[in-house]
Amino acid sequence: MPISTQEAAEALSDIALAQQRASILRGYERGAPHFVLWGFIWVVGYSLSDVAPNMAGPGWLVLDAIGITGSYFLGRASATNACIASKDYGRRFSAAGVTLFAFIFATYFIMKPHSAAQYGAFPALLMAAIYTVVGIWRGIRWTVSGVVLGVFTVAGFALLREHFMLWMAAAGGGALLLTGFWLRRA
Amino acid sequence: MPGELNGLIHQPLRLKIMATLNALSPREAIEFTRLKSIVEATDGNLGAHLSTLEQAGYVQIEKDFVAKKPRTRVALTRNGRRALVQHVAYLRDILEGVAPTD
Repeated sequence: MPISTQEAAEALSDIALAQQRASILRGYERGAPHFVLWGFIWVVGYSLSDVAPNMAGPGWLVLDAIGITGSYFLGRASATNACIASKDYGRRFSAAGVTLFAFIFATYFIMKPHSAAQYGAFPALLMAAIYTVVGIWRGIRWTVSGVVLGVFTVAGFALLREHFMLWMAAAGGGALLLTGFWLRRA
Repeated sequence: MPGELNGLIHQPLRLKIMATLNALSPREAIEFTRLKSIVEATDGNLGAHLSTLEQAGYVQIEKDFVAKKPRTRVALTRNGRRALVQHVAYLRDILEGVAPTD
């Protein structure tokens, strides 16, 4: 039995909405464990930068290596769970981590920050911008987390310069952790 | 690809299920609980419609245990993806005045 044009239009609209919702929620589900992992890394890294500034450089190198390796295995695990090529998926996550790591250090090399706070603020601002832009296409929760992280970073830099690293451990790392739990509940 | 009405897929909840699964990568599976929250259905309703789609060969359902907890995963089959594409083409044909309407 043929169907009306209105029914066809409604069905196509339902299909588009279901696909969009599935895509957004899948992104939240996959992103959540990475936010939690990097939230912990930020809490430890920024705390270390505050209490032992001379250890911050090597400390962050080790923490970033742990984070990139962890992201690889988290990516593999989520792909295995979904029955898709897990090795490729894990590689993409770690490749993204290495790319960001290289970008941040290349920027440091060229721009040469003048203070520890600038070194600490730049990666946080970069991630805030990435989450905000991703959210424009992939769901409002990414954008909210990006904006909150960006505001926290700028506010801490402007108002709490002496304790900026401690602020970033609590507010920046905390924002990532809360975002991870928030995405998981979506 | 020529469009044709697929009465089995056209049922609203089954259409949502098929569209959701079609948004995943080829052969990618989604957990039953996750699918339930996306299509906003009850356990019983979703289970019944999935059985219908499975019998038609449109979805594949896998059941296993993870940490001693039962897990059910659902994926769209190649036939299911093709059937949805044909149904969507049919719906577009109607809007463009190519296919007959009631």
